[in-house]
Amino acid sequence: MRRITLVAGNELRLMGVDPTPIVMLLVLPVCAALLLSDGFVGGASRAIPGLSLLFGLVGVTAIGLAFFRDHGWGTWDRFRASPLHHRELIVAKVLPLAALFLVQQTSLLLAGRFVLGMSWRGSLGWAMLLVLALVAVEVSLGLCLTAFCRTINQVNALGTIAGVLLAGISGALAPLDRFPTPVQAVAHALPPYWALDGFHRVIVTGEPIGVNVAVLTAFAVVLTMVALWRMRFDEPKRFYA
Amino acid sequence: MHGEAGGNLDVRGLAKTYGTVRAVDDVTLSLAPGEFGGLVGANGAGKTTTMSCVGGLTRPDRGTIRICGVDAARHGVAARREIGIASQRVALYGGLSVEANLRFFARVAGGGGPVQQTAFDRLVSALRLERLLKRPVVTLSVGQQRLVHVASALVHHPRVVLLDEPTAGLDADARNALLAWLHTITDEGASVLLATHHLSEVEAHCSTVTLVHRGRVVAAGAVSELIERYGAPRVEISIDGETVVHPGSDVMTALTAVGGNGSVDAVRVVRPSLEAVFGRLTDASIDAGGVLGK
Repeated sequence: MRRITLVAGNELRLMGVDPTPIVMLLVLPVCAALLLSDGFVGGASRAIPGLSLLFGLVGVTAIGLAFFRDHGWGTWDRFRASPLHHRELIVAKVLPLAALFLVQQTSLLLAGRFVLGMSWRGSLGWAMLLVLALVAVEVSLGLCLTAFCRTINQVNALGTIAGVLLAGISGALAPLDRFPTPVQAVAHALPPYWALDGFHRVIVTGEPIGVNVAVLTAFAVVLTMVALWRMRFDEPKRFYA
Repeated sequence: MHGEAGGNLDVRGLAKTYGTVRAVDDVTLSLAPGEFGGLVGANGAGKTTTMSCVGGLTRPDRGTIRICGVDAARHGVAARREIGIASQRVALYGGLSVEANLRFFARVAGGGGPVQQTAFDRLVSALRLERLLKRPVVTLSVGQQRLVHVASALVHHPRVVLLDEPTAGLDADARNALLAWLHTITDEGASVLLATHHLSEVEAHCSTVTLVHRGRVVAAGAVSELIERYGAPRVEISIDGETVVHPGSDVMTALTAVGGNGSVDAVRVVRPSLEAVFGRLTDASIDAGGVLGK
């Protein structure tokens, strides 16, 4: 635990030196919500979940960056030559960003509720469980991105394109029922759909969302297992290429 | 150094192949506590791969590595706790200060525990890093960054220190300070393995040396013994402005051999160097500064 705290603390120190992840994950989403909500069909109650998903999914590139940055600086090998366990390193790297994702989702919901006047009919407890499950999915997607990509350019390109596509296809940017039927069918097989559906239920209809939380958690577990299976700690990763 | 078991470092039968290239082939070496060993070879000879395998960065195809008696393959974490490694490439957080880097890596390498302040201060003072401590690494010169990089491998006071070309790019003062510190820690019981192609540096500072060529150990032992065994001393006699060379180091024998004709202006015994030994064993080219070529 001491080693995890040490490396996680260093990650926060690095964010202090270069606050790009904070701007990308916290400042931009809230600004976008404040500026764009009125343009969404259904107003804030649709804009806030949609933007939460969009910025959360695109933001998974920050996880890839946290790993690739160490390859770029050569410090990754210092970790490998140290007594750190691989699992400690992963947890320590991911923990600060998971906290940022959590703050991102929470701040968007708070901005929606108290600044944009978003309605709220569901349970706060369900909402928090949904947010936690969504953060777990985002972290696991970030780990997959890290595990499968070999260069930082791949992380940026794949993370951004896949993030926008996943968010869009799940109805984050436009109502899902406007899409062709095959696209709607595909959406049901993707985690963002279950997050968006959960947000809709908890915000608009006030229904319980146990199924949504369970599906997201299952996605997070499977994706994490895939990432850990694929991740090679001795694989060279190129920061610039 | 070669093949002696039970020290701080004991490597036996190490082998590593990349594709069709056999980078390291049956390398055996050991370091006793307090031993300052050199690992010498031309570029591509297998020095870095050997260091990487010992440091836990590369998995060898074959062979055993024991660090302070711990089998590195079976107890990697415990073995890595005893190692300080500085690879050729500078590895530091550019945006953080020198002090933040040193303290962080001291704690990471030490297993997360607190940094021993007295030991930290000693190292900083010995390497003359005091005035650099608060500066971000990116603002340092290349040589200064190299020195901080090497310092970060020493800051947790490991028992086995692996340094790959640590003096590359250092100015004379920094190089002398670093080498003096390496002597200090070996006096205190640490073992240092210095990979380099600067033969003069090894000859001046290392007590033992392992010469590698095309992935294999071609000779190993005390520096003086290797020179004695493989070097070829000669006597140069200047007679009437001409130089006559006689093999061996016995002046009287040489003078007798050249006979009594002419007046002897000067007699000089030329002792062999590590460069000569390495050149003889490997046919490698060595430049005037004692640096190995291909």
